[in-house]
Amino acid sequence: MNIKNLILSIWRFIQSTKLTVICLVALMLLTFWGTLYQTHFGLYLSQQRFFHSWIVWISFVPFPGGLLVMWIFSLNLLTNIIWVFKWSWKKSGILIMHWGMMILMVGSGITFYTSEESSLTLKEGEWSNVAESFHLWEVSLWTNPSIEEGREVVGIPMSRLQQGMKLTLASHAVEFEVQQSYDNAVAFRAEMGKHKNLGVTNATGIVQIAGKEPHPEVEQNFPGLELIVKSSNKKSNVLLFGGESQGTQIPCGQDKCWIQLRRKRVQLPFTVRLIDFKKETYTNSSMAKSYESLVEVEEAGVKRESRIWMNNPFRSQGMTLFQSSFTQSEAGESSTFQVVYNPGRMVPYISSIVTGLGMAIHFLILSMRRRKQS
Amino acid sequence: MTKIKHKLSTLVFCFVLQACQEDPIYTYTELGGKPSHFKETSNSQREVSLRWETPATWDEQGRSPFLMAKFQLVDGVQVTLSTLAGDGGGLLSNLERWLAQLGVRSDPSRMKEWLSGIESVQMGQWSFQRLDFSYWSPSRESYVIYYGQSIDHVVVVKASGDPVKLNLHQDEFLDFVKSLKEKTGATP
Repeated sequence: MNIKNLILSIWRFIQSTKLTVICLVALMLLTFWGTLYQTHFGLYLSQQRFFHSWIVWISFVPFPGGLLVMWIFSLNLLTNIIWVFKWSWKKSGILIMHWGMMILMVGSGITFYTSEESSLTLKEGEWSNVAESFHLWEVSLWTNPSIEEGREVVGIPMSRLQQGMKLTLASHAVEFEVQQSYDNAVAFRAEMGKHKNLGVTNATGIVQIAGKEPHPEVEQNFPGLELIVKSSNKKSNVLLFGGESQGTQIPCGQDKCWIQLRRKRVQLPFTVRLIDFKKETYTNSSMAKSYESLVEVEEAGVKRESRIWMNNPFRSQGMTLFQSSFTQSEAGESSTFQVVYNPGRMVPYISSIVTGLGMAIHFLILSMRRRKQS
Repeated sequence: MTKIKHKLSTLVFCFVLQACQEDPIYTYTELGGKPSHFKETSNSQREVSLRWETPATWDEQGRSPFLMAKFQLVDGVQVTLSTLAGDGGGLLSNLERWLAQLGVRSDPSRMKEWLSGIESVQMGQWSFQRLDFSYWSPSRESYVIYYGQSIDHVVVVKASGDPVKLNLHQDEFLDFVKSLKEKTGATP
C-alpha cells in the first residue's frame, strides 16, 4: 500500500459511520468509569482524569480520553456534513439537524477552552474587581502593596512552576528556580525564639513545607512551593504556601516586590461592593429560608445597585454573579458569589433551535412526499 | 466549496494549536478595599497574631477572611478561631448574635440565669468564659464557645456541631484553648 492509499483509507475511516459508533461506545465507557471514579475521588478529579484528558490509563492500558474522543467525534461529524452528505433539498432537514449537533460540539469546545468559574467573597462594605478561581492557583507578583489605588499584578500559573523549572520575568528582573512543588502541602512555622535564622524567606514565619497526600476534594488542597529567587546578584530561598494571607517581599532588580501563592485571580470588567447581606431563617431554626445581597456595581464610571439572590444572578459583559453562600461570623457578615464566565453560554440554545428546525423541515418534507405518493 | 473547506481546515488547525500552547503569564489590575470604619479600627488597634498546638485528630483547614484558623473534626464538629479588636462589641451583643445564628430567641430571664452559672478562668493573658449553648438548643446544632478577653482584644474559639459530639471533644477543646499563645517578635 503506498502513502496515497494509506492517507485515503484514513480519510475514509475519519468519515465513516464505524468511527461514529466507536466514539459513542468510548464516550459511554468513559461516562461509566467517570461515574464510578467520582464516588471515591470527587467530581473534579473524575472530570480531569476521564473527560479533560487526551489519554486515560486504565492500569497500564491506554484508552482515549474524553478530549481526544470529542475531537475525533467532531472531526467525524464535520467531514460527514461537508463531504459525505449530499446537499439537496430532500435531505436539507437531516443536514440542518447535523449542523445543529456540530454547533453543540463547537459550543462545548468554546466552553471547555474559554469558560472560567470562580468565586468572590465580600464582607459588608468591601469592594473588589477580581474573583478567585476554585481549583487553579497562581504565584502573584506585585510592586505596589496597596490595592486600593489598583495594583498591577503578574500572575504566573502553577503549570509554569513545576519542580525543576526555571522562569525569568524580565519585566521585574527576577528569576525563579523551583526546588519543590507540592499539590497539597503542610506548612510548619517557627516556634517563638527558635529557628530564627534558617536561611528561608517567608512573610508569615513558615520555616518548612512538606508534601501531603492530595485531598479528593480539590478545594481542600493547599499547594506549596520551595523557590530560589535570583535578582541582581542576590539569591534567596523562598517558601510559599497556599494558606498564607500575605505576600513575601523579594528583591526585584533595584526595587522590591511581593510574591504570594494564592488562588488564581479572574479579572472582572466591573467593581462590586457589597452594601448589605440579608438572611431569613425558618422559625426556631438556624436553617436559611432565603438570603440575598445588595451590591453596588461600578462599570465604566457608572454606579448602579443590584440585588442578587437565588436564581436571580447579576449579568454584565459576559460575567454572571450567582448568590452562592454566606458567612455570619464574629466580625460581621460576608457574602460569596459564584462568578461564571462562559462565552459559549448561548450556543446550546442556538444548537437546540437549529436541530429542532432541522427535525421540523425533515418531517415536513417526509409528509409532503407521502402526500404526493398517495 | 473549496474555499469553505480551506477556511474550515485553517480554523480547526488554529483551534488545535491554541489548545496545545502552554499556559501564558498574564497581568491584571487588582482593585479592592474596605470601608473607612473598617480601616479606622485596624489602624488604631493592634493586630493580634496567635500560635497554638493543634490536636492530632483535628484537620486544619484554610483560613477565611474572618477566621484565623478553622479545624474539621472527624465526626463533623467544626472548630474556628478568631480575634476581635477592642472589646469585640461586648459579650452580650455577641451572645445575642450567636443565639440568632442558632435560630433561638433570647429571653432576658433565661439569659440572666445562664450567665450567672458561667465562671471566668484565667488562661495566659486571657480571662476565658466557657459558653455552652446546649442550654438554649439541647437537641439540634449547638455551640461551645471559649470567649477570652484581654486588655485590647478578644479571642473567640468556637466549636459547632451536635451537642453530644461537642461534649465528647471537651477535653481536647480545652487543651487547644490552653495552648493558645500570642505571637510576638519579628518573623524570620
